[in-house]
Amino acid sequence: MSEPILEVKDIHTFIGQFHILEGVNVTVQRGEITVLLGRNGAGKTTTLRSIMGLANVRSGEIRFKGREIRQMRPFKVARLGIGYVPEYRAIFRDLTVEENLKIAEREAGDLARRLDFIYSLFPDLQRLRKLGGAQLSGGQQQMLAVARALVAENELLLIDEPSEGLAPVIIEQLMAAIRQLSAHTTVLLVEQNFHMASQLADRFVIIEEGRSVLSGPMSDLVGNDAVISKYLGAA
Amino acid sequence: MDTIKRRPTFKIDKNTLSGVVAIGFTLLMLVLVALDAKDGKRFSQIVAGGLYQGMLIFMVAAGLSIVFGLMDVLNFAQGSLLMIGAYVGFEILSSLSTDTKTNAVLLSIHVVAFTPIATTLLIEIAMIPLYRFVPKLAEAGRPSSHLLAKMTASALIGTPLGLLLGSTVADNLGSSADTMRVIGAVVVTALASVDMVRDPLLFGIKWFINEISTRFQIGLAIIQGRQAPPIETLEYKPSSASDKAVLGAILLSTFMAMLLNTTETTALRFGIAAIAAVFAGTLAGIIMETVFIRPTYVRPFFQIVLTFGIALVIREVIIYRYGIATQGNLTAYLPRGLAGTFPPHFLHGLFPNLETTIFNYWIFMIIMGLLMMVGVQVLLMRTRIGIIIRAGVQDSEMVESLGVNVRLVFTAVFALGAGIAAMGGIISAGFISVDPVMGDLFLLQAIAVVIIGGLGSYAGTSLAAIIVGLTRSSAGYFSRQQFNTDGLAPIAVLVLLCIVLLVKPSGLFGKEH
Repeated sequence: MSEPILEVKDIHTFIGQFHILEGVNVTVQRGEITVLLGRNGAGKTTTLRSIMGLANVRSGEIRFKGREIRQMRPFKVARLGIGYVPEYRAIFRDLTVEENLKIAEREAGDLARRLDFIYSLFPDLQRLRKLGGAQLSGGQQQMLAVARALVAENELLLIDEPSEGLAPVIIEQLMAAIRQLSAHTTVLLVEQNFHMASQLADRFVIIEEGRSVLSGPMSDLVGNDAVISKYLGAA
Repeated sequence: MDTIKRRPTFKIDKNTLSGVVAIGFTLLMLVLVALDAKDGKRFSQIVAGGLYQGMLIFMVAAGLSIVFGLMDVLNFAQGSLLMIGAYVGFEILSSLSTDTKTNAVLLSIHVVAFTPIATTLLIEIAMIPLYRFVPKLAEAGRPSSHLLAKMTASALIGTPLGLLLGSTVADNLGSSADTMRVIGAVVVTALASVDMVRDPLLFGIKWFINEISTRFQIGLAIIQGRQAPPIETLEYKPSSASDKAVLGAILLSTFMAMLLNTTETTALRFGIAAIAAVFAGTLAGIIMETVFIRPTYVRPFFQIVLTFGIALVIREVIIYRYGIATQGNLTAYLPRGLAGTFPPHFLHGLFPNLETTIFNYWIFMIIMGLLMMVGVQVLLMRTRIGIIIRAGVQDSEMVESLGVNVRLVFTAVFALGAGIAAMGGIISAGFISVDPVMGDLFLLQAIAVVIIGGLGSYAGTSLAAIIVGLTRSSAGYFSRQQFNTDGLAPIAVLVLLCIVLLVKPSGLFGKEH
């Protein structure tokens, strides 16, 4: 097996005084889709934020392509080749679709190089490119948020709850896009929607009260109702 | 069947309403002024006066607004930055004496800076149609930039050389400025003529010119987005044909210097003072942000106390250095002999033709303010840094996650706001009274402007600055008539502020959270 692209080892993260992550381990293999599962408030989002450098990780190790990135500033983490798609579709509402993409350029010309690929994944965005972010529907905003992470040549994408609050038809479209882009990049996904997670992911990590408790290939989990109901509630 | 008729609802959204109310308030004041004055002269004076006041306030409010929008910092020392601009400008102005030598240096700077720029512009503009219609010419490269590079480098040498030689002679022999210019030109011409005959004489100078022009050409190519010429082709070869062009350019720049009036350097003095003021203000802004404000981003309350404290310190330092008394505009402060050098001569007097009492300097302040207003707007809407700033206003953490060094952007934006305020300082110093509390007065007006416009909205700040300026001047008019004092002007601004806040607490362009 090749060297993992991302290794998170026993991280402890604090938000203010609160000890949120109390030992999370995540290993992401290159070329795969890994999903973080767990109940609300288990610490999935905080795990992604810890990787990005957006949270206060007091101890543990985070290695990207073998390099320690814990305590690096977020923009440096991003420049190493990690794209972040936060929850709640955090696009820039006062910017047009085009500007939302433009801002993600790390070198001049990034967008021009990748635009065909982006529009092939999300044809809607081409039509909407002059519109303001606030004028887009929820699904379109989510697609823009994912597209934005594709502008630079990222080797790893962290995608947080892409399906949240979206209609089933839109979720299908989004799943197709993520499956397609995973041919080019590695993905670490947070997803509450077990159906979507099981369709997309190669591997899973379950987080429970700030600890990673179980991980393995997705096939181990699918159909294992006992585990699913124990950690994730009703499947 | 649905036959129930819906009662039409008249619902104006709050954005429109607040705009109508605020603009209406100002227009009402202006109409009252017009009715009362019954005099076009008087009215236009009040409008122009309001506009210039608005522009000066804008120059403090612009930084306040963008910085607040992006970083959530309300900088109580923004007015002090204006003061720094005014006083640094004053220091520079009073250090530039009017003797012939200083004038010669100033003129050299003038010619070096402007002659090549003007020449380039002319040549490049002339070449545009040629390149458009004769594509082969464009492929062959642009001879104009080569010539321009040589000319710039030559002017760098030729002008100071000629003028300084001339002024030294004039100082020692007591000749007039005209004699000095002639002597300077003769010396350069003589040197050039000798060089035509004996090539090696000016070899060192020509080598130097070539070194500068090589770098200049590469820089120009980069700015114009062309392939830079390979450095080997630009290497200096003695007695090449371009040397003749260099000598020609040295002569040209000297003659250009002669055409200008050597004693009229007031515009240039002002320009130098303005550059120094903006530089000092920007530097002060960078120090303020990196040293003091950066550690307090997590403690917003500290920022208010801290910036307020910085403002007090700056005020006390200025009082310590210059004393507390108000002495009118900067002209009054300047040492004897320099009093006539500021404001620049071309800005003296009244605006011609209209037969009004509008000062040229007002028009100048209004134009400068509008330039800043539009310039920052273009920066925000059309450039990458502008996209980053607008995105950062909403979610700076997300911007950072995309690989942008947001901390650096914060510093840059703070410095930009500080630079604009300092520019406002040196500009206002030419007309209004400069004193250690001017910063505080401007700050209060600017805060009112930013709140009326909507916190964090640049467009709102621009509009509100104009509204507030006009309100001030019209209220000032009535106040002077009734009470023989300007006292009502600031009160009218507060009334306007209250009205806007009652209609829409988030301000004209503010977002309601």
